[in-house]
Amino acid sequence: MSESAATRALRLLDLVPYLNSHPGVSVAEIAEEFAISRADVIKDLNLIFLCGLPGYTPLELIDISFDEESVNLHDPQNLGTPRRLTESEALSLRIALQALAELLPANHKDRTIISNLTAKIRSIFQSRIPDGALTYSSDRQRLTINNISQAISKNKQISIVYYNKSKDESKTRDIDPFRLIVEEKRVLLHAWCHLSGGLRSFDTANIESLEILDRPRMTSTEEKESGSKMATVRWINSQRSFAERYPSIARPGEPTSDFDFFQEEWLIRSAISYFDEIEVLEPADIRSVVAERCKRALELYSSH
Amino acid sequence: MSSAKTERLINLTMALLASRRFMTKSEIFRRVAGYSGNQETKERMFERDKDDLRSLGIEIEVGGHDPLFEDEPGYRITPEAYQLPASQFNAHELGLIATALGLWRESEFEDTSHSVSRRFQSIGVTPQEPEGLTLGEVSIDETGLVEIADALADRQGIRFEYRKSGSQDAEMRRVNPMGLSAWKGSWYLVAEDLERGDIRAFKLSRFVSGIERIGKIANYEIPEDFDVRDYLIMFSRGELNAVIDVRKNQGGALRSQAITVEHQDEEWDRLTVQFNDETEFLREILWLTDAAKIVEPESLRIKVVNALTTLEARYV
Repeated sequence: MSESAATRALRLLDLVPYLNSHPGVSVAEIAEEFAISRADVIKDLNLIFLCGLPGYTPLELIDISFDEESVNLHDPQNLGTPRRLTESEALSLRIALQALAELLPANHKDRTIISNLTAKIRSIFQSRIPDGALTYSSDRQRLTINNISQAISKNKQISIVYYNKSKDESKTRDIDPFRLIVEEKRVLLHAWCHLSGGLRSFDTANIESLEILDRPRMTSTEEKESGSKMATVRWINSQRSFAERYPSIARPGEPTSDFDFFQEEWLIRSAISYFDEIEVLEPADIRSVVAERCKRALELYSSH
Repeated sequence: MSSAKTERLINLTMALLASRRFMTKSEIFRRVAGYSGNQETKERMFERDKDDLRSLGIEIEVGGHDPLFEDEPGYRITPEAYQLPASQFNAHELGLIATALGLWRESEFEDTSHSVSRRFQSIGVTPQEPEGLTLGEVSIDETGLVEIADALADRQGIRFEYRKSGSQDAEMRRVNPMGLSAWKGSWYLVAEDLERGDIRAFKLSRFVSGIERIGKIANYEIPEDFDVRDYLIMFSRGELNAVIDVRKNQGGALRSQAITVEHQDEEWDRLTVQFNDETEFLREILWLTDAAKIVEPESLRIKVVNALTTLEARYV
């Protein structure tokens, strides 16, 4: 309703090359692609029909024939090639390409191709934003952990390439992920490993690549006897470095969050280290330990 | 909204794109369908149409080089300025572009990237899907990123309320965006601070207000050799020094970063450590609680004591 003539014109300018490269596309498909109703598609097609080059004889008009099932563009006139990118669009593409390159395994052959492609896009679209103005460094481990969390919640098996430090070798393993365990300096994944036929713990930092498989994971009894306890923390402010560091903990959207933990020591130290972000409410018996530890640490500073 | 204006905008685009010469206004009014009414009405219509097309990102070139129309400016759209140079991209590159744009799914860039993706798909070459790629559901977006990236693309100033690291109070900052950097899941804006007159880094998660544009479009240039890494602490070497007493056999992570470790007494070692990010470093010291004691700097010592005092009161 409130769509401006200019916005609609832009859609029509994009519709012509789209139809040009998709002969026989249906009205329903166009509606989905352009996120408009089928009635609007028909209106757009009827309007395109009227546009053309000066002279406006049938030879100079955009030529199109259509019914619900099939739309065919016979002559796009001079609108057959799609619009180039604006500076803002080119920038969003350059960011996405840099991110993609970073997300690929370190030796993936496409990394160089992407880097050349990013430079090419900058030069083709004559961007005024230099290459050095955009950098993207991903947190591979965080990505791995997010994917594992997803596999667990969707009950899927995963395939990982795991680097074994002590043997200095990498192997592909299909595993049933059970749970992520957050420790002081690392996040472990408890899983059933089909390669070794047993329960294993994997350090997520050593997972080189990961694929969620379309196979259900085993939900084993081991999963239940893991001895985890429930913690409740209150989020003190909107800063999120704690939640960012441990992605398996639900992000603060509400004033408090519950999550499983395994080591009391980890929870106690987190309460102290992230003093400005979280307050541990449960388990309540941990609270006096935190207070006692802080008192002892303060004594180091008062006794001199 | 009548469709007459839409039709006229398309006819105007097609006519300007078809013309090799600059078309004068009178020529446009005579030849392009849709311009009617008296001279003043037509002029007004044309001015608005021109602004509309430009706001859509369509470049209209103005020129009066044609000696025949010395006094009247002419207009045209060159194919180079309008068209996607389709032949420059092969199927493999188009596949990578489509995959990359998919990273903006469910972000504020989604509509933009969908439009860009569709235009690359309209080139008429079937993209070749990249091999060996399992990205899962990745999000590269952060609140405010799109608005800042757009301001950067326009080279236009912005203002926003910002809360500095370790501070609870926000203050208004007015900046010219110069670059963007993602570091371990967080986005940073590197920008010229207009009040302070230097270039600084701002973490997007510390923005506490919306982003408002200030000043003109294309108001400043970004030097060709500009590099965001020169302004971001995580790309620099440790610059701050601390002296810390650590209990024997404890604080392994801190020891591995230490420049010097000296025996102090039976109980303690004295470490010299370099660090970049004070907040992160403070967390590391607090993690050790009563196994570490800051000797210097005094500022860090005060922060540790304040944190411990707050904690003791909170958990008693």
